[in-house]
Amino acid sequence: MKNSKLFWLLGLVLVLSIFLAACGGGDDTTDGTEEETPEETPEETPEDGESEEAASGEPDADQVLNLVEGAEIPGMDSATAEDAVAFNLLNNVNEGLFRLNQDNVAEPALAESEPEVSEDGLTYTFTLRDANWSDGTPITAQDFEFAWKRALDPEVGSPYGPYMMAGTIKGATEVSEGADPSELGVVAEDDKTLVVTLERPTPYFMSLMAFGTFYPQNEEFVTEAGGDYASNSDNLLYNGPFMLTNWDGTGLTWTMEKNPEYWDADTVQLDTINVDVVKETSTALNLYQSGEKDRAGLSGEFAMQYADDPEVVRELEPVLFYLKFNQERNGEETPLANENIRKAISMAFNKQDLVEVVLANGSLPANYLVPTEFTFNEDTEDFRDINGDLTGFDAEQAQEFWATGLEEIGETEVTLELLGGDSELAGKMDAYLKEQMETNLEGLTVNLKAVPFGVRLELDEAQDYDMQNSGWGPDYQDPMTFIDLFVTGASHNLMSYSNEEFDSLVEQAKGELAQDPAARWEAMAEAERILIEDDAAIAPIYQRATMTLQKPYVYDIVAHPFGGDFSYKWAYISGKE
Amino acid sequence: MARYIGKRIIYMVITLALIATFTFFLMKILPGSPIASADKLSPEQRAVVEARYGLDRPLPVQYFEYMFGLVQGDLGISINQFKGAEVTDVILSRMGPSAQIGFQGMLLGTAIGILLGMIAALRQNTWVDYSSTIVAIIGISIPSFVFASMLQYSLGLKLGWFPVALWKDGFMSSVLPSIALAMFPLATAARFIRTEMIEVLGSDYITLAKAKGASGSEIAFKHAFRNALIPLITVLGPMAVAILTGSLVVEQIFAIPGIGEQFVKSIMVSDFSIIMGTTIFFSVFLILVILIVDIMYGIIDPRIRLSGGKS
Amino acid sequence: MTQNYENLPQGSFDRIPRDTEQAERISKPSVSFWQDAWRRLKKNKGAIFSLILFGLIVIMALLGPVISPYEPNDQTITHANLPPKIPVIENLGIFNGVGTLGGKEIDLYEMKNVEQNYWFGTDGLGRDMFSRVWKGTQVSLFIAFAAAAIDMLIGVIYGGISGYFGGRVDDVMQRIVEILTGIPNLVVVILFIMIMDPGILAIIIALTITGWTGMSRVVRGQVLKYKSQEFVLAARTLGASDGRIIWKHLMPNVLGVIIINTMFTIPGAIFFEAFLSFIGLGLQAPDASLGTLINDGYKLIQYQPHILAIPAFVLSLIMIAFNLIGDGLRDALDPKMKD
Repeated sequence: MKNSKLFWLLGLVLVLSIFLAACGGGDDTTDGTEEETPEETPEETPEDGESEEAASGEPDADQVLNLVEGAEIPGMDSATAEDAVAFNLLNNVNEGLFRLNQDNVAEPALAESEPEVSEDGLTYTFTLRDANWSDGTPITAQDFEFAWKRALDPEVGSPYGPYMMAGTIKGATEVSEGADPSELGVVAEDDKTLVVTLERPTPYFMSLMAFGTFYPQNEEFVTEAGGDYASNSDNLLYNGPFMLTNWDGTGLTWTMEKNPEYWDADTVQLDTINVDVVKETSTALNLYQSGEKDRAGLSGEFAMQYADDPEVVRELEPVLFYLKFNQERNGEETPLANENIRKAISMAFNKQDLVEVVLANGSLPANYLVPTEFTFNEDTEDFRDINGDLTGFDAEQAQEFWATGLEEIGETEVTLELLGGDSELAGKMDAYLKEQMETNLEGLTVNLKAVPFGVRLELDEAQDYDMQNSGWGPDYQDPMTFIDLFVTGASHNLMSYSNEEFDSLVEQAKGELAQDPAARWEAMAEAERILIEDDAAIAPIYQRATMTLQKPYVYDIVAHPFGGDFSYKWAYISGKE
Repeated sequence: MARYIGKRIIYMVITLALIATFTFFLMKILPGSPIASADKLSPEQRAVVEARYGLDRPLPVQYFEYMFGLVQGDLGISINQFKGAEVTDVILSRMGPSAQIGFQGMLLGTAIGILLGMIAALRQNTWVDYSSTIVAIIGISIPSFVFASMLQYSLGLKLGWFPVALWKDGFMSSVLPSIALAMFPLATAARFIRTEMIEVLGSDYITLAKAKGASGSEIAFKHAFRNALIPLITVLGPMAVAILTGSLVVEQIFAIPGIGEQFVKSIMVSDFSIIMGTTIFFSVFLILVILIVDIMYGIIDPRIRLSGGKS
Repeated sequence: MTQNYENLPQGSFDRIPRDTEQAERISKPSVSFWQDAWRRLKKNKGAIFSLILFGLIVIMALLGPVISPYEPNDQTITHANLPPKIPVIENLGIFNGVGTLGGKEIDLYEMKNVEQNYWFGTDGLGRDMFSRVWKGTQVSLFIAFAAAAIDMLIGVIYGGISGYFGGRVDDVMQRIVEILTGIPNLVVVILFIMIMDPGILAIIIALTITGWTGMSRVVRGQVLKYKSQEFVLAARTLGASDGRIIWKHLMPNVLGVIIINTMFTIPGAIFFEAFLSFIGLGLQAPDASLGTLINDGYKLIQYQPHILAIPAFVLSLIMIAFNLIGDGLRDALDPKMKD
């Protein structure tokens, strides 16, 4: 092959032009957006006018919402559901005794009204309203009894059934271990009356009733479908605002259609919700910009670009991210068994910069365990206000703790592994934490280990890690959902943390103080203080917020702190045309 | 010929059995648990779940059960990716889109590649030649995910000629993914055809044809092209593999319900049954391609006798 | 004619006697195979240019992180996401620190009060892209060369033995290769990375675990071709040992093919590493390779094109260089083209 100079010139020009085109792509955006802005403004003005009218009640004729989801549905059986996608869907196509309303307060749904509660707080009697399944059969108290027992049946292998019920509903622990299901404290007295007996008074029981695992199931239908139950949208019954359609069990697309049998069908305005699974954030964003989708989530890099965009919706979630410090690995004490080392590390990274630059989506730096704006007492005071900040970034103090700690364990250098997720954001955040810790603490080396979620669970379970970047979202609306994670031997502890005082406070809050809300809160607050301020058993990092682009014609999608992420029951489209 | 194919098929079955064995044991040392909420399950429950998927039995028993099922075409049940779904159903439902974009991409790529290669060879050492070479090299030097997202942004979003993503508009949805997949076959074919044609054009029989007064186009198509095409078949195998790898990326970017993106997910969630099933499916596909290539080679090129089997 | 001949002055011509000693003399200077190949390679401008280009890239990969005032992993979080800015060139309207934010073009350096210049800009954690790109090039090249070297070693030995001894040995060895090539290498690579602790070593091992089969096939084919040729037969008749035949007679002939094959393995490995980054199984943070850098950047192509463009450009240059060097070597080492 003989080549002339021309060849080379051409080659370089072509290669360069590709990249210039790529860079030009960037400029195009600018131009595009700049062009679009003036275009949009005149459009928007009448739109705004319309939306004001719409607010006074003028939804479009065409009520179709187009959404993206980040992952497939692994399964739609409410008894075995365990992931965010399924819970979110269940919340919209099914319903339990209670449902979270627009203000995220649990209000009666299939239950006609608030239940009768016995004086000792142990017996709840629910009366059901007249409501039907999507095939027209009435929903009965037996449907609840069947579903809850099914969730506890060891043969069914539900992860959330025993987890949510054991220790709360009478006999649940025994039934989940194989005892006779009739011992369970759930009895359908007649078609419309459900009596639930609890093991101990549970102040947050109502919010549990809105959770997917507690939804009813029609025994006849489930038995008939057998192994095919919930395998696709035809093998399911619905009792929520919408019905799932077009889901073949393995596909990346499904539809929700308004359920005419729903008892509150008059409230539901949307006719159709089209959902497609899009795993790439950039693709979802492109679909949003092309108008095919009405919402798109924004992660770190994108968040910065859209910070001032009028279509951005920010939602603070009660989801906390923290570092787990493993004190015993493979039967040997790690340097993290030393309290001062733990305190040093937990103070050694700047959380403010992290949320502002790396996350840039409105997340808050966390110096606590129980998230802010999550639980309130009767006087609507935030639980967070009791303790305030319990730790914080302080490089100097961290160094002091570090020096003391090193002396105590008799080392000058410590190498620790930081286990994290394999997402891009997780990688970026862990890289940031590593750099911060290594800069602020002399003699510390942090090795990052990013693994897929399944692998991380396994390493967590085997307690085979030093530090782990971990996140937790609530299962019910009570500080306890965060606090009891760290009781000695708890299934989520897995870091050999043990403090008798902490354990006894949690025990008190769950037992004798259950009927005394104020004292109960005090006990939980004290436990939180011990965990973070005294023991630095974990190092809180941030409380998550999400940033989403949402078309201006979409109204009233409600975000929930636990259970299903969103309710579309009240949502509507106005001013799209 | 029939004997040769028969022998090859027997080899194929043995190879497949060994591949299945190899993957099976590899899978068992794979980290990660397929039981997603393992932390929420009690030991008893866990035992029940493990028993359901046969994970509790001794390894040899599991192995023979799996192989026995495999012979009957049973690839087991998905553990957590699509709880309880038959692996064969999962593969069948996801195969279509992958096959379509893969086939279109390959067809488009090879067609343009052959054209570019031929023009380059006939206009050797002119600017036509150089620019086609450059196109070919660029085709293999930009990662498919970069190229795919450029296509999505420019032709999809900015110009609006094709759907940005999703698998909704039939053929139109498959255009951009196919183009993204076409780059590798295009580059390979172009370079291959060019080299081969230059060689063929310099050979004695072409000189003879010229001496006999055959026209330029007649030489190019009737003699040179046909002979240059034969070796191209040998790269079909590697090309199919590249398409397989590429489809995984392209499917994810264009949100296409294909088998590639499903495979990545199954690895991330450690769904052993799906990983095994998909691996075996890929292997069958690959071995079949190799077999077909060998047979085609024998049919097209009379100089190669199949019975020898040595190359 | 004859008259003219007679008219010529005497003594103008000498009669040259036939000299048997000179008959066998080679008038051209003796060139070895390699000298010849090098001569031919030198004529190929594309290959030479590529060699120089590649040399420059290697030098930059080694020097880049050193000459940059910033360490590749040092974060200056307040300087995150800055576009490239190079003094002097900035006056031309490119590399001038102007970037887009929220759809508007502004000088981000001015906005963030940054005095320093980042030649290739910074990434989302405020790390200097210049040192990261060259550090990444270093890592990518290392992975590629290590993988290619291991492929070559195993492939040559395996293919050589298989081809040279033939018969039953060959049969068994070829069946093993068939199985290994029957599993899509993508599957094998992913599974091995999952099993091992993620990192450079895992990637190299995963890439080579099936990668060598290609090399072994090529080598086996060549050995099969040459081992039955006369010069090998002659050597054997003269009593040369197997080892001597392999090393002295077969290897020099096969070497060309091995080198060419390696030239194409290297870009393949770099490419595969980029692909692994895409599916989240690449290098562990905070280490950078061209693959991870491109993967970080491709999503931001609309907003911060520099994060993608620069590493992608370097990657393309490496790919082009290797392909052209490979082409050039193929031509140069092909004995048929001897001139």
